[in-house]
Amino acid sequence: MTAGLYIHIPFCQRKCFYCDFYSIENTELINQFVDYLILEIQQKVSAGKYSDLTFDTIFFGGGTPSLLSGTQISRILDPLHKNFKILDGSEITIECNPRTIDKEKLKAYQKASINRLSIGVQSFLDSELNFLSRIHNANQAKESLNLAFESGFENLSIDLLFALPKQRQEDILFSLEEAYNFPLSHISYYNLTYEEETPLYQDLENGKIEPLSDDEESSLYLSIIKNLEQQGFKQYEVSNFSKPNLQCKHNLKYWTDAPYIGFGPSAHSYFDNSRSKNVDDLLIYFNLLSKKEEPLIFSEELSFKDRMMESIFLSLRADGLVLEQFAKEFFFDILFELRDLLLSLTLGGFLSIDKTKIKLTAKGYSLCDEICLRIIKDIENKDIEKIMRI
Amino acid sequence: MNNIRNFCIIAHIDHGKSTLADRLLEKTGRVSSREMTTNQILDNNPLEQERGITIKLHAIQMEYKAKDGKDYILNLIDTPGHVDFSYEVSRSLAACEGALLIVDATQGVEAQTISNLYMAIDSDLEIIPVMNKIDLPSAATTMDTVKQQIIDLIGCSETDILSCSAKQGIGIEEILEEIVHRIPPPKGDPNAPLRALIYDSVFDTYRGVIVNTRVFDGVLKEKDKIYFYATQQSYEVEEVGTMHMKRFRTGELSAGNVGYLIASIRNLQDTKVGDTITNFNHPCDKPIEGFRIVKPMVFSGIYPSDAADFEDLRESLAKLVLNDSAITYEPESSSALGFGFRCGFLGLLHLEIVQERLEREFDQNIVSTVPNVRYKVIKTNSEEFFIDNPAQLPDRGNIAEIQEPFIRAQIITPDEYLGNVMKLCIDRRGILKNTTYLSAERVDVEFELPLSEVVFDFFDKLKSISRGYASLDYEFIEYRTEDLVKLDILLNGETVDALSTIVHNKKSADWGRKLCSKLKELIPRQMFEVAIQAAIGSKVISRTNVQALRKNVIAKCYGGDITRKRKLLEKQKEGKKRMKQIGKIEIPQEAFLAVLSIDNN
Ligand SMILES: Nc1nc2c(ncn2[C@@H]2O[C@H](COP(=O)(O)OP(=O)(O)OP(=O)(O)O)[C@@H](O)[C@H]2O)c(=O)[nH]1
Ligand code: SF4
Ligand SMILES: [Mg+2]
Repeated sequence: MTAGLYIHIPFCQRKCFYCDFYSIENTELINQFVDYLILEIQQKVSAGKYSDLTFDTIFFGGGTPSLLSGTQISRILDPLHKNFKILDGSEITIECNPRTIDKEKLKAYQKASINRLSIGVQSFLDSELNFLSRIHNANQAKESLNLAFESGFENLSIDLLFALPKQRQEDILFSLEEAYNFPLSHISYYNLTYEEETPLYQDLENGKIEPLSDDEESSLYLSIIKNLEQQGFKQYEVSNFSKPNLQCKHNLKYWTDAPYIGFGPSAHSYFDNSRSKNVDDLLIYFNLLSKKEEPLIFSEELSFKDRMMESIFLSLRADGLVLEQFAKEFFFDILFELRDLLLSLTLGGFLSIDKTKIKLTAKGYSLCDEICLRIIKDIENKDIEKIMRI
Repeated sequence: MNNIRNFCIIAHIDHGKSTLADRLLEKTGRVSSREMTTNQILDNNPLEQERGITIKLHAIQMEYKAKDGKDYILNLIDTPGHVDFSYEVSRSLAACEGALLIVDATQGVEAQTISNLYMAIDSDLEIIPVMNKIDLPSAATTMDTVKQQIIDLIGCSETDILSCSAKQGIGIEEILEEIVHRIPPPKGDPNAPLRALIYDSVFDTYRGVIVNTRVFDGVLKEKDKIYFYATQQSYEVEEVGTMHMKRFRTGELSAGNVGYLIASIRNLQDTKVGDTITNFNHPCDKPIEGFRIVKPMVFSGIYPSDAADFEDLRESLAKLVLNDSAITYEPESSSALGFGFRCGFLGLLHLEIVQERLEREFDQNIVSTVPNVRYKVIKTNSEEFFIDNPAQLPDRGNIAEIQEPFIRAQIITPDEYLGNVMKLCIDRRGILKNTTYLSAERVDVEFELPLSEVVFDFFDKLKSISRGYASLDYEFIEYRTEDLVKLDILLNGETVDALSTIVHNKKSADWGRKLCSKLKELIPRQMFEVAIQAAIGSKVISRTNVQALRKNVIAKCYGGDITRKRKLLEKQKEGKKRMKQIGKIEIPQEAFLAVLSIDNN
């Protein structure tokens, strides 16, 4: 299976008040950061662990990777290309904030072989952007999209957010209509979540904002799915939609058990049955690297049970669980063993089953975790011995 | 025999029996003050210490050199105050010649003060009233009233009443002196055939059952062959002695004394509290009066949370019964909960203790059903039987009568709450029998009540409507025919047997409605809508539903942080594991106790 490379750029011009990704506002450290990043790349190369992997995606995430210049991006990509087997025509994505890109920068990115942009629009309503404390407004978002298109990026994605307090159906439809004015290949529509340790969460705790109810969120969600499907954006994961064959290949790796190697603070890796995470503090990251230590904060070996559980919730949140593959890997004939449950889920309109896979419906996606839990619980309830015999 | 004094300490709950007992032990040198490191010496099991109550009686022998210069042997029994254990208390009283009746100087006479006093009078005991907790600041204002209450109650004179602070060790010596002088020495004939009372027994893993006994006549000696009247078993005595802090072997116990015996007895069930021990070869002519087989009053289904743990639970119950013979248990099955046991208890406190011990000492994860009483069913074909589980009730058409146990409840309350108490009891189908003023502002109210109405939150309600001042004591009187019906709960059209209850017809509609809405609160929204119905026979009397859940998904799952997501799901999964699955529906364990949290008034 081809693998993916992820590079975490931990800088933002200003921290948005709902965001819990690791990033800091001190952009003066960017150059130094790139040096250390290159150090980490060299460290991983000399460890030699990844020499058997072939890569076909690279993803610059953040933070705000578009704070980096084309030169800085090239400085990072060069050692990657030199030391890893990266296929020609690989998908190379960078996340951009509308306020941080201009024509020149985009040209430089293109020259650095970036071929996919993911632009953090979040909303086309100024009131919502304001609420989210984004550094850009709706017009700037639109301008950046025009710019991207004019610069020749064909594989263009935007991020949007729903379930903002007081958000109505019309607000969502408005943003979607605006989005359809651009030749997008991909849209990620995320549900706003209240993450601990964010100011947004504080406001929630203090009763300053009232979140939508689950029912309200669910109806917004279902109308988003419907609207996007009508415009030819097919859902291929809980929050992701694309034109035919233009899914984000990199993100698919996370849900299909493919290996990925992450660089930069707070980046995650999955390789050889083990998951690990880099430290999420820039200075500690620097420090460990200068001591020639791995900048890890955590790593774990997956047990059989972990893998089975992951396989269920990852495949179901994406494009569906492939029956034969699952049976081979976990010695469990899910279709036969859980027939009662699967039948009732199908009749309830949560699931569709065909000969090769089980896949969630739109209604199912909005209960994805509930359904996965039910399936996992039922599997655990089955006699372990019986599992082993099949 | 003249230098022996046998006495118990009796009181309402929490008036300070065990604390006083500890002080007596300390004063007589049975324990050194160094050993008094824990607050309670006698209440030595963890549940007792945590709850601050006595669950199991404790007996201990002390030696005391009185001011008259003579040495005395004092046999003390500290008894539990809670009404669930009143039979045990009555047998302890039968083993003594005297009783210390403790009254909290700030609380005054309460329900169990009176019921215990009457039991002591029934056993012809010399009663020494002791006012405790005089160290409390509020005692200064309440003491005189409390004294008067005691005088009115016992008909003693003021000088008969002792005062002490068990906590601070004030007045302890005087109590010891009064025990020696006022309590008569035991009578009895050491040469007559053996006649001894079993007032308690405990199980020891190495020695089998250890019987606590009071010898009335004759001598109990090692190697003797003895005979138990009620169980009709005989044994050879292995060891006899008295209880100090540990067992103290003496080889024999003669008339008037209190001690223990060991005789290779395997089962606690073979030693019935209240039974008479005699010599197999020279039996006494008649057993000691007052023996009764204690019957469980309250029942509840106990099921393993995880069906696979059924055998484990069975083993745990078997072990538990080894040292608590008052529990009964029988396997039963429920379509909702699978295989489990119907267990019988002396009362609600006993039930709680057993559940807690199962979870803590035996590490069992259990689901229990709402406690119920034992009903007597008379069918139209005149067949009669008892049921311990509402689900066992036959079809309505076949039932001629249902009878339920009634109790006589004695409630003592300040008269300002009398109205509240009356209302509560009448709501609970009580019949007022008597009211007596104990003093100008304290009333003793007697009600006859169905026990079933008392097992639900009655006690808590009583406390809350009287700001904690009213106290309750009760005893079983008889079975009475009442207009009772079985109320079933249906979830998505299926009866959930473990949720069936038996209620009075008059109350059924209201009850059904409250139960439905409580269940609606407790059952979480899930993928499918859950219809909740309450029905009597085939007639649905109330309905509501839990709407289907519409959203449970974590939106973000990119950047590759799969571990966090898996852990979140695992946490949710643990929550789900604690739920029982009935068909498509997941029911949290608390739902099976929903009835208990319904506001009854
Ligand atoms: N201030 C004060 N508190 C006391 C005194 N005697 C007992 N207590 C407290 O009263 C509470 C109950 O005491 P216990 O000795 O456990 O009462 P009990 O009568 O044995 O209770 P049960 O066995 O549960 O019926 C404890 O918190 C004691 O510390 C006293 O003389 N003065
Ligand atoms: S720009 Fe993106 S990464 Fe930066 S704070 Fe805002 S949401 Fe977070
Ligand atoms: Mg006590």
